[in-house]
This record gives sequence, C-alpha cells and structure tokens, in this order.
Amino acid sequence: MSQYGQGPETVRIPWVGGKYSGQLKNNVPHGRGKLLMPDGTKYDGEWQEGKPHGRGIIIYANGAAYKGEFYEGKKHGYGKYAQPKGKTIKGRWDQGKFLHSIDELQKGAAVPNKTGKKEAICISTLTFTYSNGKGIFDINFNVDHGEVFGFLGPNGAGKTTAIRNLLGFTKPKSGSCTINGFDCWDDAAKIQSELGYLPGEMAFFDEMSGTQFLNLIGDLRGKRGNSRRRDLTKRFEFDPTGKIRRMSKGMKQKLGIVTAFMHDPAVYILDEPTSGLDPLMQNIFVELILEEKERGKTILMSSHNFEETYRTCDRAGIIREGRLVAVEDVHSLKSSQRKAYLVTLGRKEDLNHLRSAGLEIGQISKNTVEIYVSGNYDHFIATLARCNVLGIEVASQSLEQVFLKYYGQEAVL
Amino acid sequence: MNFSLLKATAKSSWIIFLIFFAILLMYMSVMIGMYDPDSVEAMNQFIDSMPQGMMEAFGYSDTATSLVTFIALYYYGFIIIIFPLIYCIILANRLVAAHVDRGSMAYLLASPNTRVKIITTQAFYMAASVTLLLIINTGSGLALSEAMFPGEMDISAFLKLNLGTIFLTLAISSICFFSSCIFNEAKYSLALGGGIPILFFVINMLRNIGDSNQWLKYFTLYSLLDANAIVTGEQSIITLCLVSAAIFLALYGAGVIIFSRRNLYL
Repeated sequence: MSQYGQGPETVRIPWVGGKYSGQLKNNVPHGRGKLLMPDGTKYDGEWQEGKPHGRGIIIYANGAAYKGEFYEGKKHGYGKYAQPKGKTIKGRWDQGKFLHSIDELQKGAAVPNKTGKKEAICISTLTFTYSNGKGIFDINFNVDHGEVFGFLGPNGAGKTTAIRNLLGFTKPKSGSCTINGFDCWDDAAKIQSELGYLPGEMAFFDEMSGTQFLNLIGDLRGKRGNSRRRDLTKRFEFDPTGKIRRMSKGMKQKLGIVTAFMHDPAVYILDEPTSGLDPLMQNIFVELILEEKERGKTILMSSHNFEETYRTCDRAGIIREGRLVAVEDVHSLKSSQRKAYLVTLGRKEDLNHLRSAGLEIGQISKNTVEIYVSGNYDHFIATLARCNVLGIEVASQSLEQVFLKYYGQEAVL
Repeated sequence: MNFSLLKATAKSSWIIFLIFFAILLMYMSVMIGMYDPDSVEAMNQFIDSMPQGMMEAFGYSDTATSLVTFIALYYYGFIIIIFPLIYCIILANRLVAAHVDRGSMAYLLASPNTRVKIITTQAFYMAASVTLLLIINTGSGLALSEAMFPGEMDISAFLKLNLGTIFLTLAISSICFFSSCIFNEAKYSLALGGGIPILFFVINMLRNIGDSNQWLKYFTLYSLLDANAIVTGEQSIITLCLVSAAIFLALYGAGVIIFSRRNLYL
C-alpha cells in the first residue's frame, strides 16, 4: 500500500462537494476511502484516480444500497442492490446499467438461447472417432445453467476430444452437442461471444507480446474487457508485457486464463486449467472459479485431479477409454473415493493384526504398508489404534487408483 | 474479412515481405545496371561462349537487343519466378497450416468469427501481399530504368510483362494456399504446397534445354510466361491471365471451403 499516500486524511472534494476520508494519491482519492455527500449518500470502498473503482458499498440518500463492483465511478460487474423497501436483487451491471439478475443467468434467460433449452451445455449420444479407432463413444450429459461440472479422466481418455466437439473444431460422427441451444458445429461462431475457452495445449502467437495477444483476442471478440483484464492480471500476478515466446509454462497458462475470462462470458469450457500453475496460483484459480459460480456462470472443466474437481464442482463425469462411466454429485464421488495411506508400523506382529482386521492392504516394504480406505474410516482408525504406528502419510494416487470402482483393477496394474 | 486479424497478420509478416522485396530490388538494380546499349553485344557473346545447355536452363536462350528484352531475358526468366515462389511457400504456410499445427488457430476460432471469415482474411492477405510485392517491384523497375537509362524502356511492353507475372504468381500462390488449408500438419502442407510449384520450376528449367524437351511445357505453369515472346509482342498474355485467374479462383475457393468444413484437431 506504499504506493498510496498516507491515510486516512479528510479532504473536501471540490467537484462533488462531499467529505472524503481515506487514502490519496496526487491529492485525489486512490486506494481505500469513505465519502459522505451533503445529501446523505455514502460510499465506502476502493477508489482509483478520484472515482469509486473496485469493490465498495454505496448507500443512497433514499435508503437504497448497492454492494459490489465499480468501474470508474459506475456500477459495473457483479453486485447486490437493495431497494429502500427491502427487495434485493443480485445481478450484473454494465457501465451503471442493470443487465440481468443472477437468477436470470442461472435460468439461462440472460444470454441468447436458440432453442430455449433449460441446460447450458447439452451433449447427446455424441460419438467421434479418429482414424486409429480411438475417440469418444455415445457420450451423454448436460450441464445446467449456473452449474460447475467436472470432466474427469486420465490422459488420453477423450476429454479433449469431447471439448473439440463442443468448440466446433470437429464434427460429431453421430449425436450432437449444443451450448445455449446453439449447435456446436453449425452455429460455432454464435456461441463464442458468451463462451470462455481455455485450450489444453498452450499455443499462442509466439512473436507477439502478451498484451498484443490479449488486444488481438479482444478485438476479434469486439470486446476488449479492459477492466476485467486488469483485475485478472493483478490477481494472478501476471505481467503480460513480455514476449510470449519467452514466457514460462506457468506464465503461458496465466495468459490462457486471462484470455478465457476477460470478456466475462456466461459459459466457460476449461481444459485442464490448473496445469502448469504452482499450488498458490491453483488456489487463486479455485477462488476465481468459486466466484464465477457465485455469479451464476456455467463451467465445464476437465481435470485428471479429483481433489481440484471436488473443491470446485457440483457434479462430475468420469470418462474411461472414450466412454462415460459415471455422472455423479461430487459428494457421492468423494465417498466412493479410495484413498491410500502409507502406514509405518513399529512391530512385526501389527501386520498380522491389520490383516486379520480385514483392511485392504497393498504394497509392503520393510515395515511400511499401504492401506486402502474407501469410506470405512472408523474401522481404519480403530484398527490402527491397537497398533504401534510410527507414521502415516497419504500416498499420491492416479485417478484410476482413486476410482478403482469405475476403472477396474486392470487399469491400475 | 476481419480487420483486427488482418492487422495482426500484417504486423507479424511484413518483415518477410520486406526481405523479399529487398532481394527483388537488388537483382533488379543489378540487372538494369548491367545493361549497356553498347555492350549488349559483349554480354550476348559471353552468353554464347558458355555451355549452351546451362544457360538455356536458366532461360537465357535468346540474345537481347533492347532494355526491355534484356530485362525480360535476365530477370523475368529466372529471378521473378524463384523468389516470389519461395515467398508464397513461406507465407502460405505461416498464414494457415502453422496456426493449425501449433494450435494457435484455436484462439482465432474461439472468437465470434466464422471459419469462413477467418480463412478469407488470411486468403486476402496472401493474395494482396503477393500482388503488392510485384506491383512495387514493377514500379521500382520502371523508376530504376528511367533513372539509369532515360527513355530507353519500352514501358507498355514492360507493364504487360509484369501484369502477366502477377497473374501467374497469384496462380502459384493459390497452390500454396490451398495445400496450407487442407492439412493438419505443416510438414504435409509444405510438401505439397512447396513441392508442386518447385516441380513446375524444375520442369521449366528442363524444358528450356533444347527443342526436344518442348513437350514438357504441358506439365508446368511457368511455360505460360514466355517473357521474351511477350515483350516482343509475339505472344499475348490473354491465355496466361485467363488460365491463371481460373486456377486462382478455383484453388482459393476450394481452400476456403475445405478449411471451413473439415475437422481441426486443435
């Protein structure tokens, strides 16, 4: 905060006539501050160059209030608006104008929808095969408006293939998919203005700088989304000014994320969004997803990491060798998750004890055993309590090991 | 057409344009500088003294008597074929196939622009930049010859020759562009889009050696551009222009249609 002046200070702002107390820069409000206008209107929040900008609360003289995002002095982005007599609307504003409520977005009424389908993303009997016989076969699932859907599967299972069909890059051999009611192949271009896509492969225009690339994509969309773009780059601590060719993998992934999110679309399709990000940035990304979910957005994200899916998604589909083997609530998936613990035992005879207790025991090395637990934690802990345990570690597992139920034993061996 | 994309494409490719223009300009000034009304005879004697087959392969079969025939012989027989050809191969590959191969095409298509719009923008840049390259080259050729030998150049013959060259090069560019549109991997696009024009070029060289190889002219587009016959007025450029225009329209059209309907593994 050292870039801001010493605060709080109270100054009279001549052009509005109100009383301001807070941080200043070059003698205008910048940073955090409060403003009280002569008519009783109050603003408390973030400022930039003399105007409310960022997050803040405004209470109008007539008792109405708005809490949410501002941009250059106007309501812009997401927020809550309370009328003087109680009624509250949660919604989205653009340059001070009310666009639509979160409710409308969740019902799918806020964005153009060709057929009026209830779901944002529909995939029905979708089949696409490559010349080598691999592909996806008879995939069926829907993603509701406002839902975050995880698409789980190991590498090569067909996640990207399905996403290629959703983006209209490939034409389904049979079946179809729609986004907001538009056919993904026939109306591909119409879908894109309300779609944010993060490709699984990082390939940009290498000779450009990040800024030039973001400008180009903004121009191609006819919407630069500068304010959101600035927020996103700040949030991910990403400096887009360098040449893309010189960027590290993590930097490129951040560039991809900013590209996918900056136009504030209603639907996101993200292919392995956290690959290349360090754990800190992964957390920031998860926060962003949860925030977008709060805003009523529809998100389809593929992953081979269940933990990440569990943290963000409502439901998940599990794909195996091109076929969807399960579509379930993440909580019920969590319960069928099979976790492995590496337990180091102090006594030889403890091993026999564990065996006789009926625990599923895997690899044994010296005095460390791998124990698989799916749901029956009480029994696991009770059994261990009667042993001399020197240490417990969580073993890292592949998706196939976590969902043995769906992938079958042969996938693990 | 999308102007933002056109601007970005121009920005990333203008340096190649500049390099090829510099090469063409350099040869043009060297060739015009070599012309000396008095020493044309000496130059012709030098050509005659070289092994006949070798000179013929490069198109230097006749002897020149005026500035325009001199340029037609030494510049439009070889240099104006090979360098624009290389330019077309490089550019066509960069504009489409490289984006598909690398995957950056995904970002262009994940915008509210149809495939047809994206690909016609690239096609427009391709055709326009090739045309512009040759128009500037024509202008600089005229300027150089007027500066060095005022009044010596037969301007209408020179313009006719250049018009024919532009049409032919556009036809060649359409082969490169078409193959860039139809493959998923840049190497195949380069193999076809570069291979066919280079084959035409080699066949043309073989054709020039001796009259017995004249039947080869049916296997190369470059036989349409007989520079010497065009400047002396023995051959009109109408056939050349019509055939080139037909190839140009057919292959650019087919490239756009195929690209907008095929599967892209991005």
